[in-house]
Amino acid sequence: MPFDFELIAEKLQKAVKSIKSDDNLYHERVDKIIDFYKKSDPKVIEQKRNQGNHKWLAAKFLDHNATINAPKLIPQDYRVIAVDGSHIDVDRHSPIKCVVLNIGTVIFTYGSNPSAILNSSPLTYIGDSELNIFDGNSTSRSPLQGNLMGVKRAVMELKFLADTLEDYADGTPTLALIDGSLILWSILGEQEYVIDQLLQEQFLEQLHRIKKLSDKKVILASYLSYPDTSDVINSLRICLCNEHCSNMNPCEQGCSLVSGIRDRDIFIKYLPDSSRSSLFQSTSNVIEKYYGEEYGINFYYLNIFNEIARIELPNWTANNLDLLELSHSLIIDQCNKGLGYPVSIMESHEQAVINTTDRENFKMLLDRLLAEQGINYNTSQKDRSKKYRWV
Amino acid sequence: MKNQNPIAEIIESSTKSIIVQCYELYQAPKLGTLIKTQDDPSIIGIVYNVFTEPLDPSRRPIARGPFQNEPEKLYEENPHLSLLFRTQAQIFILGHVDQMNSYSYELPLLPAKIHTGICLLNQEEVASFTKTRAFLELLIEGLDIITDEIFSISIRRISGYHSDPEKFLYDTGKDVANNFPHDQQKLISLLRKLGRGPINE
Amino acid sequence: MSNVENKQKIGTLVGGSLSSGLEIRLDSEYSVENLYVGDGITIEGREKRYFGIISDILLQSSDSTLRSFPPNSSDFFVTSILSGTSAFTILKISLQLAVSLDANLDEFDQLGLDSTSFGPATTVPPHFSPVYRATSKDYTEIFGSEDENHGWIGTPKGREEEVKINLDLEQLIKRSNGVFGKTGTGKTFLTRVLLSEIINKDLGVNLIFDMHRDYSDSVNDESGNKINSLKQLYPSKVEVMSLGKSLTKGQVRPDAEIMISYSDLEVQDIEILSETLNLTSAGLLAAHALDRSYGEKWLGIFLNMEPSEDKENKNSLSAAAERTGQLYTVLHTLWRRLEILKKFEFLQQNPAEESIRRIFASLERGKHVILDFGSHQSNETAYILVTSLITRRIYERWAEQDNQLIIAIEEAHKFLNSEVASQTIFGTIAREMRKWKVTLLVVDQRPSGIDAEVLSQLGTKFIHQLEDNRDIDSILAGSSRDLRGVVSTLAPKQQALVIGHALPMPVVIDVRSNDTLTNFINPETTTTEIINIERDNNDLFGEKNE
Repeated sequence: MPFDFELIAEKLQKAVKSIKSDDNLYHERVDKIIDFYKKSDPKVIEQKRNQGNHKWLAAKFLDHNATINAPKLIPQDYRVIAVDGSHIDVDRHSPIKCVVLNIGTVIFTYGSNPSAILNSSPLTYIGDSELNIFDGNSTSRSPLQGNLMGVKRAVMELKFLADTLEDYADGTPTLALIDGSLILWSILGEQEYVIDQLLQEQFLEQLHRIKKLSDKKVILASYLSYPDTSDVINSLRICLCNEHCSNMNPCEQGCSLVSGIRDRDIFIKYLPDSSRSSLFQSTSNVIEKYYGEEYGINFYYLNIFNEIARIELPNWTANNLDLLELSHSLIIDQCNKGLGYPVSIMESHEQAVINTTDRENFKMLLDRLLAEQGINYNTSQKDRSKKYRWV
Repeated sequence: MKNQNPIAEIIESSTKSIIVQCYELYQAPKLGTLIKTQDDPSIIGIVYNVFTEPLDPSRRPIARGPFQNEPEKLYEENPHLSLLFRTQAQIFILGHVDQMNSYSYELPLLPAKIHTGICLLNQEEVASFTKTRAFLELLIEGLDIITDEIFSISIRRISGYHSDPEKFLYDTGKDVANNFPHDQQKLISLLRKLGRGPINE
Repeated sequence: MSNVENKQKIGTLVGGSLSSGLEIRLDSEYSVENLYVGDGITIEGREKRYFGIISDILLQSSDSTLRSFPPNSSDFFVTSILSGTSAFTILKISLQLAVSLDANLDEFDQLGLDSTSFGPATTVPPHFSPVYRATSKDYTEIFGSEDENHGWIGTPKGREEEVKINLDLEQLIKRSNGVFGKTGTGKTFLTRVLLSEIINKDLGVNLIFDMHRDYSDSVNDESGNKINSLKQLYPSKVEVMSLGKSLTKGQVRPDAEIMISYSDLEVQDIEILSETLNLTSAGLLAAHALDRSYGEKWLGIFLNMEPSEDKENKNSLSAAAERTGQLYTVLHTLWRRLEILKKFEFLQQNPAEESIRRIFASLERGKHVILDFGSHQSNETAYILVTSLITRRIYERWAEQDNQLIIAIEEAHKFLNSEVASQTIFGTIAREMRKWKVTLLVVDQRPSGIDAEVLSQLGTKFIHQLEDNRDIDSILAGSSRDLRGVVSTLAPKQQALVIGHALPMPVVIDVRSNDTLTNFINPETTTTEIINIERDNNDLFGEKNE
């Protein structure tokens, strides 16, 4: 049946109206928060954060509050390596279980000898052994699909990045970019053995390889546009609310100021275009539990073309002022070239993406191979009904 | 023939025309150039359309802005751009080299193979291929495809390879007129284009 | 095929018919400005070769839009390409002769075969047969070479090479012929050539009634060059006789003087003069009556009568009126009109000698006679009268002769118009053709004034430029209609279309220049003999001016 817009429209309308009325109050609140942020002392905030029994994620404040940092000049020669991935999921109905993971890598060199390399590499995982994570005794397995496939993908992206960096790192300032986050959020909730293998063995292994290249001016960073994150606000909230709230939900008193407001709302208001915020440190459970101190993750916010992006860096990069500043200016340059988004990430995405035609061609290839071997492909009734949409 | 370096590669092939992708972006043979395939039998054709398009047809270029109007600088600062486009040329087939190693002005019976390289005809080859009137047959037949303008540009360029370019243009005009019993206005406009004189490279 | 070298293909046969002309599409390389109407062409069929002449030239285009929207004439590249391709020329050809291609043409050349190997074209060549301009070799094949029976009369129109068109003189003089054209187109010029050739080759004997002293004396052509008279060219073969007392002007010294008696004149001579003298039909009837009444000498008697109404006067017109039963007024009018004859001093009651016999004697001996009209030069009445009379008399006596007699007359329409053609001697001669070995050579500028039947009896016609459509129509009546275009494009002077029995096919010629008429002298005759001949003539015929 076609979409019944009427019913939906009504509800949407109400919601939109309520937003409007909230609007003016919203701006007042944001201004207040910014005010507070500017005046507050990061050490005090840190103290309160450590003492508090809040259950929400609150970022660690590092340097002075509310600093505004303009980008420095970029070097004449620099390089960007970006990696992105895309996958075709397991078809439950097919007799062959397989997953194709397509990793797109781009290497752009700018300056006196400009060049560009675009690459994509497909990885296939076929059969039980490849498509599952097994525990040590092989009694338990977690299939590589859905969320877990996303994690596996993040791991492989980082691996490709590390491979490429090892080949190319030659002292030329090299920005290594990843779309999204350096924090493997999705691993939370997985089995221990999964976390062991994917995160600790594989993911951190790659981070380690990249860390070793840091003297070759390699700057690893992740780029998240228009982030939903609020770990900075959450830290401010601890100070703002005198009730020492421990609840996730903001209370009606102190917390009401920050209710519904995200980090990006704050920073967009006071960061000028191309400037970055102060540096923060992520206190995510994933990091604290599994990354270890060696692999802490820092972040800052950046105003790109009047939109906020969140840049995450490993601590060894963030602590090096040169590299930190390079990360800022090179990302700005990338965004200029990409008309608002880093061009290297855009192109790596294009290299990685498996479009509909390719997906269908893949399915057809499988079908043909199965048919050649005389294997009957029994698709489920549900699948057939979806495919054919008959009347 | 195999000694020459190919400048482009066949990516689409039919018995009447060929599409090639040029190895260097924007380094396509000019309109009206005669090329040959590095195949056996070698097929001779003429370039009638050159175009550059994104490799991925779903990604359309957008204007970069008036302050970035120095194209060379743009490509330097965004080296990946030259990887995202490809320059192609459409080639109309005029004949081939037959088993006796002489020029035949008929279509080859089978199309050229994909991925075969193509290279330009040199001065002698152009003069030799175009010295008889027969080479015009397929070219005139294909006027609807290659358009009057490209036809006249090609002939005007080829005339420069002959010892008497004006006479070559005149004789070609006569041949065209003899094959144009109707639509005199189109004929007159085509002849006027030819009458602009030889194009010297 | 021997004629292939030097042959330039000019086009291809694309249509047409035998009756209204074949259509040739001119090749695009051949320039239309190189062709003339009247030019000779050959067509190579599969089994025969054909000869014809261009009778019309048309410009056509393959598409009518070219007529509506032609290219800019200053755009030379475009116009020169289009002309010959989309815009092309069609030649209309009047097909004349055909020869079978089996015939070995080299043999022809060697044996000098005459034109009987060629027949009139009764078939047409197949579509797309190639067409060539006739070469000099083609012309020679068709028209033969000069010999004792063939005389050179000119070159084909527009040909640079000296190709001689030779007339079959024997065939020519067997029939009556005509030379036509507007005034000033060169009829005399051509006639002089014809007469000269006949004299030169001794094929017959000419009696020339020289109305304007064109033949008896030398004349100057337009450039002032002197053209010899026939007498000067052939002094021993030609005699000039003068009508009445000769003039001292000019160089002509007549070999005899001609006088005519009234009794020589007959009613038919008067009839011929009816238009010139403005005689009424009643007057002519009266003349007949006078003739019946007074006999042979009626005219002399009549002219000596007095215009009196006195019936008692036997010499009065009224007496005559009564005697003949005619009205006085009619007789009086007739008498007045005929009075003009009295002015002719050559016309006498009883002349000193029989001039007609003199003329006859010369002709019998094979001498060509030119009758000069003396002081009556260009006088129409004198001309008509004398020509008519003498012709009749000579004709009557020529029956026993073996030699062919050719009588050359000018202003032929006076003698041969429809009204009088059936009654005059000229009509008779024209119709009877070879029977009595007397033929006419008529020179005229108004062929439409000549009886159609007479025209159709002419063996060969030499047609110079004519303007009047009626003249063109009448001269081309019959099978030559498609040659209209040829006649209308003739040059104004000394160019003629020649068609008839004396030629295998019609041809347009530039008439041979009169200064090429050689002074034929019998190599055996010495200078002394020539002087002797002249002295003899002088002795015989009296006065001579030194």
